[in-house]
Amino acid sequence: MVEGRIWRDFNFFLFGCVLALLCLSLLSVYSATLNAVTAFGNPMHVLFPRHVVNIVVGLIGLTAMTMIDYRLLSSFALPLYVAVILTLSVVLVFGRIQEGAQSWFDLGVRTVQPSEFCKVAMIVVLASYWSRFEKLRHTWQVQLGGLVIGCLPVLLVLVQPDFGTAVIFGAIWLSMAWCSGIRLSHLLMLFLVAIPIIWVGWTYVLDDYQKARLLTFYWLHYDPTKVDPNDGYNVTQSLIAIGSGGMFGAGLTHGLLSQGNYVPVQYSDFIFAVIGEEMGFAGGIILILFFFLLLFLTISIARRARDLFGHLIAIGIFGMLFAHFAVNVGMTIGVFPVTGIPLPFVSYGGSFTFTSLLAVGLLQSIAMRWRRIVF
Amino acid sequence: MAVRRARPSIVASSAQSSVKLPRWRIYAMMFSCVIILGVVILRLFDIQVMRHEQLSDMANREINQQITLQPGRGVITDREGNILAMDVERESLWVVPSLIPSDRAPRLALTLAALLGKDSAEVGRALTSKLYWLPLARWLEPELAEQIAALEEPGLQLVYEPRRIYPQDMFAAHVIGAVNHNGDGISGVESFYNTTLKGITGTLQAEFDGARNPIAIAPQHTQPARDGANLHLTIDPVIQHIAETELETAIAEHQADSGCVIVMEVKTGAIRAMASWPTFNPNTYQQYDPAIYQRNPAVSHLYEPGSTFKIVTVAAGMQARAFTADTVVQDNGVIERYGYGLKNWNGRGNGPITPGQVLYYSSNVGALQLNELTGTDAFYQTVAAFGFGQLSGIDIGGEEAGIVHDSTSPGYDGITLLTNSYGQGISVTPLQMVRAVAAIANDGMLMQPYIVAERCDAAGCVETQPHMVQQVVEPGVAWTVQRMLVHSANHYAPVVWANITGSFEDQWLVPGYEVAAKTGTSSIPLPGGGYDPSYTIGSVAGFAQRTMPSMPFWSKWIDRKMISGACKPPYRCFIGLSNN
Repeated sequence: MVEGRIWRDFNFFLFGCVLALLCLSLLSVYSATLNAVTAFGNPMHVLFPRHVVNIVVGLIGLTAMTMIDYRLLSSFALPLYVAVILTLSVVLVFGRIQEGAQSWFDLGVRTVQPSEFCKVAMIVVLASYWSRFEKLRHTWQVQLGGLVIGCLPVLLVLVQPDFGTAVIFGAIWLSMAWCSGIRLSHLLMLFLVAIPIIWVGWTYVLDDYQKARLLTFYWLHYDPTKVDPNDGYNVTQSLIAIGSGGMFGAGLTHGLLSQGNYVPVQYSDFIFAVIGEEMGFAGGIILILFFFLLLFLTISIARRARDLFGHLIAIGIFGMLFAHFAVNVGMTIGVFPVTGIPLPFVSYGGSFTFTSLLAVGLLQSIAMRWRRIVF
Repeated sequence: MAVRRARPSIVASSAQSSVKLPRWRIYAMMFSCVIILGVVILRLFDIQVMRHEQLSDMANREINQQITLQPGRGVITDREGNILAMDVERESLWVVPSLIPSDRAPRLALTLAALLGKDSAEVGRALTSKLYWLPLARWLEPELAEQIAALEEPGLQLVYEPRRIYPQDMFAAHVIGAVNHNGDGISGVESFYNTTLKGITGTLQAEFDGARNPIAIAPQHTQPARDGANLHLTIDPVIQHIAETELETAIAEHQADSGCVIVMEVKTGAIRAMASWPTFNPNTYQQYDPAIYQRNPAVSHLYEPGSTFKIVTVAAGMQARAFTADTVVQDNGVIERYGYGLKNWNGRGNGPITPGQVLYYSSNVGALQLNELTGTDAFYQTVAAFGFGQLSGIDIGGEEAGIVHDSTSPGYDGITLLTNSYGQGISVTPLQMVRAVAAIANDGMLMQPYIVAERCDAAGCVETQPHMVQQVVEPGVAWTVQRMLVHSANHYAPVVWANITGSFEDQWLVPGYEVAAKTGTSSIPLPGGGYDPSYTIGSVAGFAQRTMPSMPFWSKWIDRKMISGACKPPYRCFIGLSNN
């Protein structure tokens, strides 16, 4: 299958965007971990070499994924789905609790967060499901099936509890259902059904700390005097850091709030605050523009995909990256509640860096195989 | 080239076969993308460009802070260099509840409660408090601090905090005083020299990180702290020890409520011992009644001196040339003045007596007649010259001036002059009484009493120079009174030194020393007037000199349930011991 000739359709713009974001990532993670220490006082600069390794491994994954014909994945959909449900269940039993959620497998040297890999796996599973019912995909029965398939991992992730990942799964499902042709009336019904479910979720499922984060977000915008100083601390520090960056920023490794450990988890979830403080408005805009170029290229790949399977995979990846971006940056600049999810390609974090680059490889695989006939 | 030319047709054919979806759905997605893009960019512009100044100010306020650098508090040592008060390095335990996960708090509370010996519910409340940062235990023992550090709990923070300790516990407690939780002296030398001991706090102006450590990349401006001065006291450990043990013995023997002993070097005014009862342990002063640790009775307790004050009466008259050592007054035991019958302590007369015999027999009737000879102006002039009614200026906190009614005071009448002659109707502090009698022993020169011999800081040491306040009486008068006091001591010698017969002759009470002394028994005035019938204050004032260059002077006073004789045994012990 892999012939030299198909590489002419390798999307260099997409790859260029990813490389640009990875460069920003190397700069900002280097700066964020240079002087930072953990709560135990251990220096964090050891994270930078790990980050480089993560990116190199991710690029290898990207290349491998590019060479594999994405259509082969369709036949693995069922085993993939079983694997997703199993890993998410097993991590609840044997997993390691880190940052308040039982989401990690401890592999000795590294910890692995299986829910990150499950995001891409679920995209493949859902794409395979809808493409199998290509002719019937507008019917409510098929759409309901998609909903059920999508809801199962969401519930498992909520138990961990990892509210952020659940939001991402939701976004993936919604964007794919949208492009598989879900009817507006179905969406409306879903919306009506969701209200009591959200009420039940708020009352019985969400932990106190998650509620506090959501309420903090509410008070931050409507009455800052009611913000609990502890809960509002993260967002406030992030806003101050970004705001003090100004037009061109304090310069790499010179952002006092980022370097001084004021910005929480500045190497991962709040990496955008580091960019905002040290590279300023200009750096932030560059990152955002590269990101949206990447998103639009993803949509264009989806539009040109040769079949519904490829189309939906690309849309799912779009939904995942878009939701990650919106939730992460939104949280950092105070327009979205604090949910601990990383910024794709930029945040430190092995599992998600690998997953994102794998997704880009999948996009390239779709992009390169859009022609029916290859001369 | 052929491939490139073929391309348009392939695009056309594949477009037909690719997925058919309504375009508007894609456009809707792109539109939502653009909306988010717009929101993010607008918000970033708002934060980074419009509100840049405001948020930068907030950042600076948060980062750029000044912390104070605590100087070390000075060490207090006695005359021989033994340490009486010092700082030791300790760590205090503070809690940051937000860093303690709620599921771990109950177990941690139990662990801490066991380690600290506190109530676990109380510790639990602290761990789950809404406060950002609160103290849990101060001044942990080093081993305990290590155990807590080993818990590796980020929410528990050990903060360096020196603790004031007094290695000799109750020794010279009233002289040294104590330091409160804020590090300020509340009594004694610790209070009087608080600013000297404290030193000067330094500042560190720097940019701090979230864990309150200076950020390495930012410039710092440091004004280093200057440690407090070390104080060397005049207190002699041996004399102080004797004074304390003898006082304690006497208190127990006579079931007295309180008492105090002062030993002062007559040539210089240096305080060699100052003991009071009831006393306290400055390490744990909070466990005592504030009345005990807040004031030093030796300088602050006001009492009517009684017969010891006759020394002043005799010295004043002779200095004023109103009478001589040979002047004779008639003592019939009782005398009628201003409608009152004033009498001796036992009501018995001693016949015609000289001023020396007035002291010897402790005759009230004789003393008041001597004062009548001296006259109001001359008497009160000398009383003031001896320092009564004024602060002595000793460097111990909480000193009282005493109350002297002279002829200018409201409510003064003729009888005050008469009762003052034997030490009633006037109130003094023990230190004032000691100082006045020391002036007699020092050939009439009144010295400034002091407790700090030397203060040493980084700049060097400053020694306190003895300071003569004034010549109160001529050396000849002082010499005469000294002789009278030697006779006076001999009078009660049979009580104290059983093998020596009391007589009006000079005798060696303690071989090698000429002992001079005067006893006093006075009543305690009641707030409503009159005197308390059930309690008396007994005291002895005296000195032993001539054969030693700078012999200490000694005084004692014991409150309540005391007869004057009770004061004598400690006096003997003191003279005897300091002889060795």
